This record gives sequence, C-alpha cells and structure tokens, in this order.
Amino acid sequence: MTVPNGTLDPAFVPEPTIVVANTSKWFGQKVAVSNLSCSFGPGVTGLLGPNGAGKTTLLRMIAGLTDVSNGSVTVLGRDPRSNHSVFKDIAVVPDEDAVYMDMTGRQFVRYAARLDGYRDRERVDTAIDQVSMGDAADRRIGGYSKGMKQRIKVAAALVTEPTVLILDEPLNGTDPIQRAHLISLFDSLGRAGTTVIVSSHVLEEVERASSRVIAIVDGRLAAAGSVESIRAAMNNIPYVVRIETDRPRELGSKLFAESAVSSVQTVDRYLVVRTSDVARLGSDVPRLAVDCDASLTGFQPQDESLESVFRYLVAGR
Amino acid sequence: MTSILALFGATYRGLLPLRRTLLFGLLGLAPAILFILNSENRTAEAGFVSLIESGAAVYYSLILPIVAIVLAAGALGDERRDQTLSFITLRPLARWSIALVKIAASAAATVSIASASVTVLWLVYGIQYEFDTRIIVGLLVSTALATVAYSSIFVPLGFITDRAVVIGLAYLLVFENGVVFLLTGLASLSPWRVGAAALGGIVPDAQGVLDDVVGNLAMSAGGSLVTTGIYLAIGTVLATLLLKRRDLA
Repeated sequence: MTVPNGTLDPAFVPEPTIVVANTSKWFGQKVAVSNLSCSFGPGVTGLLGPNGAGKTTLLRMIAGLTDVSNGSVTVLGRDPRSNHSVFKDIAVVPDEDAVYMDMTGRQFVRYAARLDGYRDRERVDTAIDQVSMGDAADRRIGGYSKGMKQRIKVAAALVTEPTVLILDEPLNGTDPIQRAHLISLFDSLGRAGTTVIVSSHVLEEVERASSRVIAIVDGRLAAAGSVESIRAAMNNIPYVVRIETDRPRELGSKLFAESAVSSVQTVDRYLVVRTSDVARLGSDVPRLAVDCDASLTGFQPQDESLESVFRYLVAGR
Repeated sequence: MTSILALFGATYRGLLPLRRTLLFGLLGLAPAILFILNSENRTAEAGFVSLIESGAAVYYSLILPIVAIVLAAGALGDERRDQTLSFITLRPLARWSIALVKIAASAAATVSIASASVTVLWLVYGIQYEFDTRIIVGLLVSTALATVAYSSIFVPLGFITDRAVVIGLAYLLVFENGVVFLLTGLASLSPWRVGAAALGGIVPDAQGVLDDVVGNLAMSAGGSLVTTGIYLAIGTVLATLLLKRRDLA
C-alpha cells in the first residue's frame, strides 16, 4: 500500500509474509482490534503498545488461535484459521506459561519437534543450545524460573526452523544477560530471513530487538515505521513535569524563557511545566534554581509512561 | 505418523501420572475383593454368578465409568486449563486427527487401568474355579468398547467445561444407574451397558445374570460394536468442530 507521494506506507512492507487487512476483532461489546491494516516481512518487527492495546489479540489472529470478526489475516498467502498446513512454517511463543510442567526441557523441545514431524536429536540439541539451556535441559520445567521457561519456549519454537516466528512478550522474566542473548538471537534470525514479530509493552526492549515497529493503542494502529521515526513522533509531544520548589514564581519565570518549555503553570508551591525535551529540562532546572536562589525538592515527570505517550499518538491521528 | 504418535504418547503419559495410576489401580481391585468376599464355599455355577453379580456388575457400573470419565475429561480439558492447547493446535495437524488421537489416548489410558482390574478379577475367579479364556476376552472387549464410548462423550465435554467430571458422575449415577435401570430401552445411551452387552455376546451364560443384575441390556455384541462406532464418530466430529470453531487458549 502506498501513500499519495508514491512511497510505501510505513505500516506495510514490500514483500510481506503476513498481511493484516482491515481486520477487526471484538469480544461482545469490547473492541480489541479495530480496522487494523499492516504487513510483516523478513526481519524483526516490534509490536509495541501498552497492556491491553490489542497486541496479543493481533498475534492470536495471525496464529489462527482467534478468529477475526471482520477483515482478513493471511500468513504466507494462507488463512491460518482454515489451512493448518501453514503451521509447518509458523512458530509461536505465547505470553502465558504454555509448557508441560512434568516434562524436562529437552522432552518439551523434542515433543515440539515430533509434533511437526521431525525426529532428529541434533535439531533438538541445536535449538536448546541456541537459547543457552543445555545445562538445565534435563531438569523438569516445573522447577524452572520464569526466564528459563521463556527460553525453553523459544527453543521449542526454533526447533521447527520456522519461516515466521511470533513472540508475545518473550523477554518477560528474563534477566539482563538472558535478555541481551535473546535479542541478539532474534536479530540473527531476522537477518537470516525469518519473519520475526516481537511483542512488548516495553519501548526499550522493542527498540533493542527490532528495526521496524508497529505501535498499537486501543486496538488501532498508532504508529508504524522505524524506531527513530516513532521516537521522533513521541518527542513532538509535550511532556508534563511537576517541579517542587520554595520559590515557584521566580523559577517559573526563568523557565518560561527557555525554548524547550512550552508552558509553565504555578500551583501552590510547585510548577507544572510542559516541555518537548525532559532531559534538557532536567539539566536546565538546577542551573536556573541556582540563578534565582531557589531550592528544589522535587522533579517528577507526570505522564512519561508509554501508555500515555501512545494515547497522545492516537489522539493525534 | 511421528506427530500422531508423539501426541498420543504425551497425552497417554499426561493422563496417567504415578499417583493417579496408583489410586485407580487400588480402586480397580474392588471387584476382585468383592468377588472374594462373596464366593467362599460355592459351586462352580454359583461362583460364575457371583463373578458377574458382585464382580463384573460393580466393575461395569462404577469402576470402569469413573476411571473413563476422569481420564477422558482431562484429555483436552487439562490442556485447555493448563494453557497448553495452543502448543498442539499450532501444528500442521488436522483438527480431526487431534480429536481422534485424544479420544484414542484417553481410551488407551483407561483400558490400561481397567484391563488390570478385570485381569485380577479373572485370575481370582480362575484360581477358585476355572480359567475360562472366553470370560477374560469378553471382559477386555467389553471394557474397550465401553471405554471408547465414554471417551467419545467426555473428551469433547472436558474441552467445553471444567465440570465435565461432575457432570459425568451425575450422568453415571442418576441417568445410567438410575433412569436406564428403570427404562431399559435407553440402554444404548449408557456406555457401560453398551460394553457389557459385548460380554453377554461373547459369554452367553453371562447374559442372563447381567440382565438380572443391571437390567435388560437389549443389545447384541454386534449392536454393541456398532453403537460404540456411532459414539466414536459423533465424539470425533464434535471435538473437531470445537477445536475448529472455538478461540483456543
């Protein structure tokens, strides 16, 4: 799909493996996904959005676990809801602990391989090694930590060597080292031509894991494109910061002269400041406080959560 | 075939953890114990009647159905409750094959427990009277047929509701062991009677005793086989439709 100037809409890719076309999903009165259109192709795409945004519902529709209420979803040209042969090429790592607690990690990965028709042990060992679970592979999954469960689920997905890999919050519960390792793994898979979709509500995770981002809020497409363009869009939104000081009027008048500050409001003994650059404001405030002999007792961004930033994005569309 | 065997094996093992196997194994000794308690100093003919009355009747009307209902309800129900259903449905497996394998695996698990129960009963009877192979063949065939019928009902029901076992026990105690006892024309709706009818066909002497104890079975061995096939077909279709149409966990 192209935009009027002839370039491709950032929600779409030139050679898609997954196409989501005017897709909606509602559960009774609740609309989980609303008229969403986008596509995914080889490489890592981050699916970003706050909790409850519709990310999991979208992934479940792509995986054929949930039927669409309207529109269509195709994976490698096939409808995953009716054509189960497509599952030879798809692997899904769900958010929930979809593991058999009584199995060992190795049995679990082997079971995944056999369900797809593969019997070779090397394939199983390779997948386990890819997630660095060799040492714990012969222990029962019931005794695994959350991070280990996540990694063994990823191994069970990789063992089938999928063309499309869907990961719903795969970094939940992982420690920083495991997280870095998994992100590197996803990156190498993407570079090798696998379509990797990584869902997360944590911006930093998605930023590190993927070069392209699809952002969803309230079931609607909020933004799409490179991480940089999403960042830029967010930076255009004024942040609200509460500054507590003993001389609010004096500090407020100094702040008002700063170019990054769009408005200043005095409320009792604190200031409510709107700025497009929180970091710069954070470095300017102490200097300005010294200039007017004010003491600072608080500096608190009021709406820095990803959710509120996304809501701004949606409201601006 | 690799994927079918893997699904079958994992389901079978998942349904029979050690504690459950031991519990059902102990329960399965009940018919033999009852037979021993009721068969001292009897003639061979009276011993056979006791085998059917106190042993087989309890086995068919309680032990076998309880084991079958619990295991069948867990075949898909446990996967749904444990959120592992997507692990098997996101595979290149036709939904009907998943349904059929789940029914087959739960039936195999039940037959494993139940066949041990009737084998012990037959051995105890044989030690006291005679080792009649027709009896053990009849018991095993009838067990297999009743089990397939129960699995065909309760595998899909276990997928629909967490209360499948409770519903199953109510069905067993109120409908099968109550209503059908009074209205023998409904015998084909009672899976254990469908199975027991096969015993009556293979061991004709057992037919009359069974009729006296559990009510007229109103079915031949062939009828038992056909009825079980109908249960299996309906159960497989139902489970397939559920796997296709429901949003899966």
